[in-house]
Amino acid sequence: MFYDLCSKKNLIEKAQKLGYEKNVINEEITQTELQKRMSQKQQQSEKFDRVTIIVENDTKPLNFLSNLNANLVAVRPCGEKSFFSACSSSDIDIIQFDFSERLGYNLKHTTVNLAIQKGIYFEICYSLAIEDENIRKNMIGNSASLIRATRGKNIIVSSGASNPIYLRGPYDVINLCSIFGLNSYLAKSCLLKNCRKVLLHADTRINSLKGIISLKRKAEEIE
Amino acid sequence: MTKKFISLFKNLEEENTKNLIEKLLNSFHFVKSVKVLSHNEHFRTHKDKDVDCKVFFYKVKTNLLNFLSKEFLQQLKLFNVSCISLNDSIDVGNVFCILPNGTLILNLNKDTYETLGLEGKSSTLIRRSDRFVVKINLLDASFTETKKFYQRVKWCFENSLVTSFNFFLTKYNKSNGNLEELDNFGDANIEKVYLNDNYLCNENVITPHIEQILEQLTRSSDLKQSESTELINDLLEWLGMAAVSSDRIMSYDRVDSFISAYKVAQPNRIHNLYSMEATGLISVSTIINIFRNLCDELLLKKAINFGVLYLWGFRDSPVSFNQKEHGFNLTDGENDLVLVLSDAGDAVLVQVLGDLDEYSR
Repeated sequence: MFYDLCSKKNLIEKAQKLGYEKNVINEEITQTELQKRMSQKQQQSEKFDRVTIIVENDTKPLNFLSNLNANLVAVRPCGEKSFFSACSSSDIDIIQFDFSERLGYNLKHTTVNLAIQKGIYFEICYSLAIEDENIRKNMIGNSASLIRATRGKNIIVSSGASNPIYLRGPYDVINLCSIFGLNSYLAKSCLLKNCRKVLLHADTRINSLKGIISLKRKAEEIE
Repeated sequence: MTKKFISLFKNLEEENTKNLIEKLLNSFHFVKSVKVLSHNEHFRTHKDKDVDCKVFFYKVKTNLLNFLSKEFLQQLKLFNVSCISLNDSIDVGNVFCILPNGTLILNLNKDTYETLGLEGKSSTLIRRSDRFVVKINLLDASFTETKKFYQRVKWCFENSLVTSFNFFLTKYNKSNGNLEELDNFGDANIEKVYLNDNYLCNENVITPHIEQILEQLTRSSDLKQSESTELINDLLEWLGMAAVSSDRIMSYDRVDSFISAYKVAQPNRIHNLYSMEATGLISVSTIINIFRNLCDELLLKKAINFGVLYLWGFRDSPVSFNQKEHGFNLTDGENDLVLVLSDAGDAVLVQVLGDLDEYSR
């Protein structure tokens, strides 16, 4: 089954027609806004399917993430320090970049390997390349450098689309990934097993103790 | 990248030659679509000999457990049964099939294989593959209700893989190849479907002299390798365009040379082309009957000068020719066959296979 881990409510129907059986609804929120909500205890009652935290301040730490009530946690770092902080965090599932502009810092193998060892995945949102041709150039360059740094490992591809017109079928996306530098086998993994691993990683992070033990209630007990 | 395997035959009037071709056709179990093409309208009056309305197959909705039922195994012992699942694609989902020799093949993705509980092997087609193949011989003498392996398989189908799938199924007599009625088995939902043959006439088609081409290929001793390759490629190109009724081979076509510079090879003539096509699950016995009838029309009755038989296999079939493992990549999943026959007793058989196929390696 093909996954789209960065979707919106209004896109799910079209995505399912195109062949994405599993879609995760993403909500973007800035770091300050999220911290404000959490301090007001608003966040306790609401649960995100997936939340993408846009880091605004490169120097602020990301240690508030352990209290976040979300199935899937993604971070979009704004600078090298926040990127390093995200790679060393245990409370993150996905690191997303703003590929519309040049990154401004190099993606080092050592930092990237930190994230890979923790099971964190890097996300490429392909819809940006379709929306705007100026963004497309930056996107291709940034994606290629990400793939070079990760050696094709731990990458997922999702739509990140705002409009159904920017969605593409899974096999078209696999073809598109060849421009970024991924071969067809790796590109397929980015839409299939890597996405599944992200969801498993998130489930383990939430529901297990130290990633080893998790308890599930029997159906009879709930009744 | 697709690969072609070309076989040349002469003296089609001899039983040995026909048997060789039938042996190849017999190894092609899962044919989705068949098309017969010729230039003579005589074809039409005998249409119920080729792909007739009495040809049928079954749409079955069932879980895999029903294939272990006594009623089904009994039918499998007495008749040839071919069955293929329709739900999923072979590169991401789970595909199942049953061969006429009674082998149940499960081509599974990693998740399903790990939760199923049966032993299988990793797919040989891709390195570091996430696909696994489980083969179970349902007709094995040791595959009985009292044996452990049967119990194990039954448990797996009762507990791990319980979903119902849609299948196409055919059942035919082992000796005479006649299609047989399928008896109910388990709680499977069975629906009989008759093949709907679509008849088409294309008028004024520029046709190469296929009989001459076949004669050159099969009987000419001084034909160079490069020349024969060129002849075959030109013929295949024309056959492909005839199969889709392309405008490029119609006599009325006046296309701009910027769009297409294709010209039918000389010498050529103008014919009407008649074709009949049917889609579903075409049994091997039906294909052999079609081949035999085509040979009769060509060689005995001399009613037509050439005949073409196209066979398109299921793209998601777990096996292709000779029960070799078949896969699907982004762009190729072909397992197709085209057989061209002439009234002089010459034949060319071309098998077209995708890169992900054990037969083509």
